[in-house]
Amino acid sequence: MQQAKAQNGTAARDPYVWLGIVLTVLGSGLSPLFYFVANSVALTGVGISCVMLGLVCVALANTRDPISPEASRVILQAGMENTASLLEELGLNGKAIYLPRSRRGGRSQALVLIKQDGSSINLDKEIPGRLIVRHGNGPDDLGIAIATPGSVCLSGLEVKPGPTPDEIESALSTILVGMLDIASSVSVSTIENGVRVEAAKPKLGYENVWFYQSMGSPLASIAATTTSEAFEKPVVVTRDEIHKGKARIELEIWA
Amino acid sequence: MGMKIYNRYILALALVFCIVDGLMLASGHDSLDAHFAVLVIASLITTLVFVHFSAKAKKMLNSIAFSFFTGFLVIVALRIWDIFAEA
Repeated sequence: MQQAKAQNGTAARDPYVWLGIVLTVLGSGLSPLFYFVANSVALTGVGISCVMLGLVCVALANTRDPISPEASRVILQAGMENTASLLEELGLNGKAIYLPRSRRGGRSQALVLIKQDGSSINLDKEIPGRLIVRHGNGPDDLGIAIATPGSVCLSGLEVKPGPTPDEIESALSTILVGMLDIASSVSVSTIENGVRVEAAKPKLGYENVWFYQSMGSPLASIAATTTSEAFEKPVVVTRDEIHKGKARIELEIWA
Repeated sequence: MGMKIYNRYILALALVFCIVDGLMLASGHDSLDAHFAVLVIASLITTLVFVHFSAKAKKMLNSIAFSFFTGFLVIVALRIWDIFAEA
């Protein structure tokens, strides 16, 4: 109840709502004046435009999350630092393996192996939904499974992406451009054993820190999660760099 | 600082409406029905260009577009009624 009240309060203060209300009221008031008093169809059209724009602003305001981008950034930073501390404490710096939902009991997650050699890994069967998971029969065949930003974003997609570059590009554009606004455009192409993702004007780049070395940058992590879900196969980030204002990410899809 | 997709959409829509209003004024049309119809079509086309909205935003914009389109259909229906009435 209190949460709903707080959300309503946030929505009421939303600049889009205020802009929408001002435009709608202004347009509704001026249109009859222009039409009946000034006898001008063109000016009445301007009033109608204001009403239409105002209604669009109010409608869009209702689709925004009540949490601000600054708060989201703080939460993301805290989550990344916690995961980085965990990986650093355990000495895990191998590449994370991004698993689709079907292999993790309905949650797409990344698996970081304790033993760097992944030759003994058996990902054919579903991995139990725990933090520390066993992926083989050997005593060292252990890893930790962690949630990634991409796994949360996938729930915002209308349909699950298919395994074609166009479908992955569309899904990634919706997430990175439409939902998160952390890139201006995305393109996806196939390469040997995987896909290449290029994101123009990325706002979250690669940093040479423990977390990024293992999980990849947030952009790469989201791309890997989406690709893993599209192919229903494990995916590893093999290249993650920013070159001339473009994030270039290469993902290897495991058979 | 990059602009959020919502800002880009609202600015694009405002720009398109300004262009439509300017063109309608320049062409000397005195029909409010035609003016409204062109505004509705322009808003629908602009919305189609922004394909990367989230599912929630798309749903909301579709419902707004539907209400605009209903207004457009009412105008068309009134026009047809006038034609039949004159005949």
